[in-house]
Amino acid sequence: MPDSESITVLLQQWGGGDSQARDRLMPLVYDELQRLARRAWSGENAGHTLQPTALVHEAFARLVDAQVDWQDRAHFYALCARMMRRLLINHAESRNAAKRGSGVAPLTWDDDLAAQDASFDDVLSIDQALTQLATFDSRKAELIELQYFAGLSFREMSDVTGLSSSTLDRELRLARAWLKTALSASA
Amino acid sequence: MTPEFWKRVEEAFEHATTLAPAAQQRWLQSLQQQDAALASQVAQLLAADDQDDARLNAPIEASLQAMASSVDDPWIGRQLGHYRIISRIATGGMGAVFRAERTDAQFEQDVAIKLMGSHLADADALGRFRTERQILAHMQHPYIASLLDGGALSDNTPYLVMEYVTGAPLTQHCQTQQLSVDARLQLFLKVCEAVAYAHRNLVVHRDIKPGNILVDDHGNPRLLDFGIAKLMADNPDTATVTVPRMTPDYASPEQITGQPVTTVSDVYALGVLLYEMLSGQRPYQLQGLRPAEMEQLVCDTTPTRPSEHATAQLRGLSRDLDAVVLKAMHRDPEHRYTSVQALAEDIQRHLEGRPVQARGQQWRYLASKFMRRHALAVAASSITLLLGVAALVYHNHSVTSERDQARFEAARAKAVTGFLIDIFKQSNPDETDGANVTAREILDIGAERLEQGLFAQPRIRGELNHSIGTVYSHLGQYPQAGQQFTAMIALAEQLGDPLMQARGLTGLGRVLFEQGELSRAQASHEQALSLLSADPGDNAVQRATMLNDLAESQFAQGDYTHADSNNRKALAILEGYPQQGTESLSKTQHDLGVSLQIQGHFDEAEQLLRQALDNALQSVGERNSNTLAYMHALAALLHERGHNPEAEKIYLRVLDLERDLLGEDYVDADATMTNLGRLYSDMQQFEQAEHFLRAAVAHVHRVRGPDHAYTAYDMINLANLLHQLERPQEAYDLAAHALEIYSRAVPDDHPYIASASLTYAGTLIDLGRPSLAEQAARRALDICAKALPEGHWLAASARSVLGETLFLQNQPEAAETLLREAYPVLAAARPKDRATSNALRRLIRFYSARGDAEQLAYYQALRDG
Repeated sequence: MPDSESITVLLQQWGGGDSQARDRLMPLVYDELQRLARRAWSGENAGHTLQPTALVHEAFARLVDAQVDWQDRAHFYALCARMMRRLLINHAESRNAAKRGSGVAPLTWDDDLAAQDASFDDVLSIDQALTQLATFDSRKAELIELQYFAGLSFREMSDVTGLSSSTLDRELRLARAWLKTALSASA
Repeated sequence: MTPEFWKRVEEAFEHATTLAPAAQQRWLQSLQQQDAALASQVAQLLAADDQDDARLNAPIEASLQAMASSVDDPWIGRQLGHYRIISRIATGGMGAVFRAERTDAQFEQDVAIKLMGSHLADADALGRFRTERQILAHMQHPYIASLLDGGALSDNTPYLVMEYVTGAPLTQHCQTQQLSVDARLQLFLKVCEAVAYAHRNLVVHRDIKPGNILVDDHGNPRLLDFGIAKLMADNPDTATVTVPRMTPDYASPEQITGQPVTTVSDVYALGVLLYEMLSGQRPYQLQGLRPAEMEQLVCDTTPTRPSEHATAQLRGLSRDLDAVVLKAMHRDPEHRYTSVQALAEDIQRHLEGRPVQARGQQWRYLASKFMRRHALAVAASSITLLLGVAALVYHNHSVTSERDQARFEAARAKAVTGFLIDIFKQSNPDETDGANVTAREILDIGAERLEQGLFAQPRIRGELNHSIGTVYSHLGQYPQAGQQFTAMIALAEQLGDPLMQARGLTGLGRVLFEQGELSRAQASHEQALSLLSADPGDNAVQRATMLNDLAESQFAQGDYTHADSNNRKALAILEGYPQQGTESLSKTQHDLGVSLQIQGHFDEAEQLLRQALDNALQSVGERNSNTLAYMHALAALLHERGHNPEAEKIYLRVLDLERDLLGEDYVDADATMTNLGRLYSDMQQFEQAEHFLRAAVAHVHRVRGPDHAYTAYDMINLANLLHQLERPQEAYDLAAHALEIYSRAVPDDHPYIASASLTYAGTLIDLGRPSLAEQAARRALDICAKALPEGHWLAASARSVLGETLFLQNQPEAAETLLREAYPVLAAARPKDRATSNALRRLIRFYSARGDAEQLAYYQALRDG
């Protein structure tokens, strides 16, 4: 595992305009999110509910020195959101490819598991719609990423983006509405 | 989508979301004419806006789960007792759940095995675990998944073996099946049945949530995990139980704060569940919050009513259901339903179209509102009296000959009696427990029958319109009331009866006034007056009343000059008719007095307010809601004039009478408490002051809810006191909270916000944050400039506060100017107000810090003199 000092340094370099630092950060964050997700699932820690917000916050706690300034923090969360999205998309795509015709019987028990298989297709549709949204309103697409893929609360998003909660509410409300129309259109 | 078009979409969408549904529809139609593409895009977005957001986050969470599980699972294939694990079903809040099969092959049965996330300490613990388990195993109910077996692993990790159930989680089932509201309620009743059964067996579920309730193919619920949470919590080996892993979204305040959990905690969770089933959302957005924040949200706030964010297909959720849900999930266990049974019964009542118990308090409130104006008539506490009295007492001037008059009266008496008998027959005799509850139903039936045109005689129809409209208005049903008066006006026009038309317009004007449509109210009253005959001797008392109504609408719009002049005209008329219109006389004297008080003419104001009260005491006595209002007004004036002991005496009497006459839930009782609290504060009786100001906040919070502007208003008053008592942190918290409420409850430039910002600024100064305080003071000043007349004392107060913040930030010149300008304005306008003494205090502090002995002595002399 990368130590928090080096991640913090990379974040600061990125904040200073060094785009290579960002490229080096991406795989570190990606791997860490994946590792945390799997660890949460496996026997060693079976009492864990799995939600993006928990993973992202844990990743922050493990990877980043808590003393970083708010801009680096904002960068980190934005990156986490992006990596979480990529992680899920990659997995959904590979699962979809592997699973064609395997006829897995659907089970339901807990709310964690509801409609799991269908969710792969849904998450791919969300990804496509989000990509489309970014072509004409990238800010809203980023906010949606933060809200859903990083699971940030309103307050945290406000801290991270510097936007007031009323602005956030307005932007996200429209973005969500647009995404839902896009999802309905593609369904 | 081009960015330009998107920009326009964005603007249009934002505008549309500020409109009420009907206005939104109209606006979209007009947009359709101008730009069809834009209109259609916005319409689609608005429709999507109403849909549940779960389709955005649920797939993300589910696929995260799936991604995480795509590793080899060490549990698969393991043997536990008689069972072998086939697959992992889920990892939930309290442990992992597996699907397993029996290996001794006595009979084929798939089971679910729940492996707890904790360990049992010793043999004793294992023994207790077994006993508990046996209690649970005895629960046999068609809607409860049974517990079959259990045990512990070699490392003492306990596990439970349960019936394997397939189905969809409850909320998901409601959505995919697109169940109607009634179908959801029926399903919910089955859940209640299961929980009530468990409670009779002394088992509390403790973790009711949609994921623990699966709906099978027959549409029946199966409840999982009954009592499991308790089994976990009883485990004494606390070292290995990290946190009680309940689901915070459904946990009651007592669970969150670690208080004892009882059957009413399940009632709470059922309330949350019903909330989600009906509205598609959870009452609190807890995602991403820290535990302390969750605790605050769940324990200190009341959620939005479910009907306010119900999805399109569930529109029209009634207030009854709102009340049921909010009663079930009341944060104080004592205010919830006492049992699941009681909750279920109330839902049953709703399904049968009967009034629900949950609204009992609100009905008392409506009734008390009605009583406020008709305290005497209410003695019989039945609507009959009012309908009858209002319809029959009216003296019709437009029917000239006595014979016509007599004939008309007879016809009307007969028609009205028949009408009342008819509508009473329509109302269900089962529901007559509490005459106030049936009042509304009777009215609705009456209004409907009237509309169906059962009365050929238009004059009588018009009278009934007037009566029903008046009662609707007293019950706060303004749109319905407006319809009745509008119908009456139309009939009067057809008949060519100007007096009847004028009475209709007066009624309509009052309704518009109550709805805040002030200029329309004014127009209605003006038209009513214009219809009266030119001869001032005709309908004199009526004319005076109408003048007073007109004045009221002008006063509310800040037009004191015309309001005063019309009230004076009304008084001149009424003095000529001492036997009639005493009610109008008191009200007019009161209204004029209050207006003069606001304008600073205290002597005449006091004289008028005393006259109003004397008249009211003579004609209707002390136990009357109008009399109470006059007492309150006089006390406020006496306080403003510094006659504190007399003001105190009156306020205390008002408070007693209000409680007595109008009940504990009287909606405006907080006004009296707050005013009394402020009075005590000015009298330096701080303990009393805090007591009443806190009581006011608690009351308004309970009666009007946490998001009401008046709640914030009372909080600011309390904050002011705490600030004065040098408890800045408490004051700051209250002021910040109040501002947050205002930001949702009133427009951005409302003077309430200015006043609250000044309180907020004051607390920030005391907390050593002058630059933030400066921002708040400037905001207050901006609002004053926009919303208040020039030279208003509130602006002066803002300048004074701003001056102090600048002084603290080392800008003494600017500070001095502001501080010196502000004080004389305040001293002239509000000589006894705390804002004024504060402004003086700031000057003294300023000159003392500057070491300017001369100025210091001057202002100290002002303070002490």
